[in-house]
Amino acid sequence: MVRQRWKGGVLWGIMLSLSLAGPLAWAQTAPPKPKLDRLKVAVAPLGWDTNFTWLQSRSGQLDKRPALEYLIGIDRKTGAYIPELAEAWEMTPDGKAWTFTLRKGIKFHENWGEFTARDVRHAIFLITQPESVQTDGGYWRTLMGIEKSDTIDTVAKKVEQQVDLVNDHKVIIRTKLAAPELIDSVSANMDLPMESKARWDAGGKELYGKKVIGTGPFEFVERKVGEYVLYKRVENHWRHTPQFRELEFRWVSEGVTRLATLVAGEVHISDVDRSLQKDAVVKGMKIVPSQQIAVGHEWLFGGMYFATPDKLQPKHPFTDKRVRQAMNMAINRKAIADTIMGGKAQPMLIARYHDQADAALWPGIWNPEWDKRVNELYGYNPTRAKALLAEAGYKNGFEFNIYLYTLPGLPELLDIGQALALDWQAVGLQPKLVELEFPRVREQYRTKAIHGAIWGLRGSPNALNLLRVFNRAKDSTVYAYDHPFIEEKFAELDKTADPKERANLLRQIGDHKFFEFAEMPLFWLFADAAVNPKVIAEYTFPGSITGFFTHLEYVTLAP
Amino acid sequence: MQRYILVRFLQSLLALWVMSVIVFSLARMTGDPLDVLLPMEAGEGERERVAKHWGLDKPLFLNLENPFDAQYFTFLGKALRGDFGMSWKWQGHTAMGLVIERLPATLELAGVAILISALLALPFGVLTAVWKDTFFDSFGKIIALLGQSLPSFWLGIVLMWIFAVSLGWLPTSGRGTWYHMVLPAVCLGWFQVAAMMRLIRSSMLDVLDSEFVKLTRVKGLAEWKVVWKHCLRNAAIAPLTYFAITAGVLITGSVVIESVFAWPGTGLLAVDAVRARDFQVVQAIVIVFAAVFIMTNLLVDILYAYIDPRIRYQ
Repeated sequence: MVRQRWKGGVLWGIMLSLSLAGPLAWAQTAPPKPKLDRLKVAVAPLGWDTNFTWLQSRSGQLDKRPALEYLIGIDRKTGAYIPELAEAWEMTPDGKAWTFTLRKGIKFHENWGEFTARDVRHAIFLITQPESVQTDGGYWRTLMGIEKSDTIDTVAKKVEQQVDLVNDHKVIIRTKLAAPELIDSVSANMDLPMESKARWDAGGKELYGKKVIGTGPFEFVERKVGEYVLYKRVENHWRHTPQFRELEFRWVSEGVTRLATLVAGEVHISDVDRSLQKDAVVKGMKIVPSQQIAVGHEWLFGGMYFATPDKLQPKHPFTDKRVRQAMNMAINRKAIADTIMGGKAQPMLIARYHDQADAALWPGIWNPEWDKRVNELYGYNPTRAKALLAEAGYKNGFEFNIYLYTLPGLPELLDIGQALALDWQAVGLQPKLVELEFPRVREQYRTKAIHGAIWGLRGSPNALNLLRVFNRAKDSTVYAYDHPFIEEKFAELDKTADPKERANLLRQIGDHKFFEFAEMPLFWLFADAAVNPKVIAEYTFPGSITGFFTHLEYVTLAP
Repeated sequence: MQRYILVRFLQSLLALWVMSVIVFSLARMTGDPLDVLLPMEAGEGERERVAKHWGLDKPLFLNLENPFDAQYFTFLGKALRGDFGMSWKWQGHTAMGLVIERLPATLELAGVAILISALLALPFGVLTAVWKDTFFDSFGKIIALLGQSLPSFWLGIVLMWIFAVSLGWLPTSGRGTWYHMVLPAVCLGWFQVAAMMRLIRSSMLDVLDSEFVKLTRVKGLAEWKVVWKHCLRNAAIAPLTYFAITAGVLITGSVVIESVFAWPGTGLLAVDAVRARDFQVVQAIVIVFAAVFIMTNLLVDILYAYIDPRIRYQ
């Protein structure tokens, strides 16, 4: 009897607790009426979580950009170079000196004084100092003539010699080599934000570590490592005052969680994986694509070292141009784009050559012949691919490895690799899928030891940047395809600063790569921001800047 | 007894040292950290410069010219003083500083998960044993089966979608109020609830059949007193030991849950550090985790020795 009563009491207790828990939780968590003081953006954690602009590579700059400005800005609609902290600029005919006229009356946050030519010199010092690992650091060191054994004092002296302060608002940057594309290197596309020299003199690195201080439309408030970075708007900012008072970047590792935070109304913009974007739309969210192409994606043949014969394995099938063409023609690019990328891809004809993006720096770089002949030479044609393989002596195919790994910004890489394997199997080849860590792959291509493997990469547009890294025979880091012809053209490029001549040389290299099937170019992709349309009426961003979610100060809120 | 404790303590130190060798070696076997630390465009000069700056240019274990001038000995020497170096990913922060900063979040989550598992497993375990082969027992078995078989990653997402997105009762992720803690703590605790519940149930079933229990009933003791006082006390040894180890598991095993719920604890720190090949932070976390685990085991062993006098080192 006692046992029965006790049993009943426990059951009633459990039921009562459950019935109370729901309404109680509801009453205590009911969200307040939306009033957007703080715009929240959920993004995957960056490789770095620091206030130092030079101790990370370019993608790590995303969470600091709201506070920073550059000499030259990027138009959020067209991706064009526009005046930002520099009002005007001019290059000498030899390409070895650039004069910048700076905007007057621009103040650093927290009363660190007016932006002047001294700050430009200081920015170059920061990126070239010995501990800098910034993406463009090596390039700037070359331009400034800095050696690897130089101490921080020597670096400071060399930068002082190379950067002339004409007056507070005029600065001349002299470079050891011709730098006709310096406009890009000082723009928001790259890694040279303007930071305060006065602040460095007052507290050096220690002070810089505490906050990000610049001249941007947002002022740094707080960084909670591993959680978020918070900014507040600068009232009456010279360029644009944001509509909302605060901006928060929130780190959320998992893609599904980023989607959930957006749908639940906890954030207003989110970096939602392409595979989950349909779910976001179903839940009433909107996908806003970037205005410009954001990422190029290509696959590469391992061991194409024609300019360094000691590293070449001449008997490997990949060295035969017909095999390379066959492998290109076996790829059903449209099917991959439609099924894996949701149809949101633009064809790429030559690795990282883009007709519009490159034309801003090198008018005339694009060869219309490439458009005309791409279907004939690269179009999906398994029959022709088989014939080419037979012609090359590989009627029964051959074995090779496809390296699979994950890369930030392109989670579809594994699926694409598997799709490529199926396409190649269909023409008689015997690809073997090999999963491994990306640093292992990097080690192989860096040391010219990636013979006989196929691997994929992705990156931002800029033909010359890719050529410098992928196609030089020495002093490079990604040895993908080198050739005496390209070496010859590089030598000519080093001698001229004329944009038209440089465009012509780049076009010749493009011709070589296109007709030699040097790589397997796949797509250009746009960056997508998933936004809550009830909160955001308009968000326009170029996408061409690494990190993608830029120009947040221009977000228009829904009424 | 003192000898027993001393031997176990020395064994724990040895285990910690072995762990330091393993974590140091494994971290470096996964590839050159410079391939993550430096941008793709960085040339050989950049590599040399940065390698020198971080001491990565020295031999790993054996330096014939100067035996102690190797990366491992530098690491060990500093680690003994609690210095695991500066983080590469979180520039400006020390590795141990980051672990200490994130540890409260993990302890908070683990504490609530332990509380949930104890509060649920104990009554459910006892009651399923008392009401053996009833509907309640079957229900308990289902709860245990689900808890032990559902992947925590999947469970986390499903709970998030139901309670945060669809119902809007709880936040999806992050840390702040206690509402933020509910979903990750339930996910983390459920597996342990299931395991502990089964353990309590089987221990209770053994005890419920014993002679002294029959005697207490014959003597006319109230049933609740028989069950909750006499039976539970005798059945508690095995679950208690397991519970102590569970505490270690919960503190160190929250990696998946913290990632799913963006909970800023040491688990998420570990994932981010591994992704960034931030050896310093990885080493600091693993050594701290190992120390927690070893200390928990040491305490359990000592507790065991007190409870069961037969356990002694001769």
